[in-house]
Amino acid sequence: MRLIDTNIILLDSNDRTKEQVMHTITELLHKDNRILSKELFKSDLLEREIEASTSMGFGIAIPHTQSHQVKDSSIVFIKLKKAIKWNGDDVKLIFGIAVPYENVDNIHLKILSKLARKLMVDEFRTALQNINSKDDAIRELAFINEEMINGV
Amino acid sequence: MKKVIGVCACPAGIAHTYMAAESLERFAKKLGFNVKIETNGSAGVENRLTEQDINEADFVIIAADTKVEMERFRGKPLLECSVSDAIRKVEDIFKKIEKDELKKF
Repeated sequence: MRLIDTNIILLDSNDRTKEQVMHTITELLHKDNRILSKELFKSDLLEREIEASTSMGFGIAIPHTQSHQVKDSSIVFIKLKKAIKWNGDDVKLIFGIAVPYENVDNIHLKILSKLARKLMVDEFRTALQNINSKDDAIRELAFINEEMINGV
Repeated sequence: MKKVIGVCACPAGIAHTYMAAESLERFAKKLGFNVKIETNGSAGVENRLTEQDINEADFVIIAADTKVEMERFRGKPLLECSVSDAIRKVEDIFKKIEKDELKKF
């Protein structure tokens, strides 16, 4: 299963709170058969969020968890219609990252670390802000799936 | 060329550790520092600082929300901050370094 896929990309989401976003991430992953229990997954996601906010500034938040409920590593991408408050930040772009607890190979984690590093590049963030369609999103984020195939 | 080294670590170690490392590396290079940042993330310790790195370092930055092995930095000018500071306030960190405001650990 691909890390990023059109089924787990959502543009123009109407979510108005952080909690709604967490719910949406969970629903998308469950619909695409990537997690086991919705309730337990969401609580794992929230637990990490409580430890420290996953908003990173620049209008981007990255809620994430390595959880027993995750079947396949996945990156949900959500673009909100309107920015929302996320621990004092205005957030419009969300990457929801789900990694299985038993992560046998480290490839997924390496790719996620690469995405994280790339988010610190101004040009990449600008490209993300200009995403208007699922095709745009796939184009900008394709490097993630490609590296999955090639190995890192 | 002055050398700055550092360690980044956060609880889950999936994303923010690496953002912080990238942020410190980019800013340090921009200012003309020689830089090496160790990441303590979910993929384990990467880019581990060697004894030589530590000996050569002029400054140490610890950007961590979890425990980091600290004794190895004894006697070094050192700054501790959160992972989030390294991502959002990287200018402030390097301002302190350039003003020589770091205390010896």
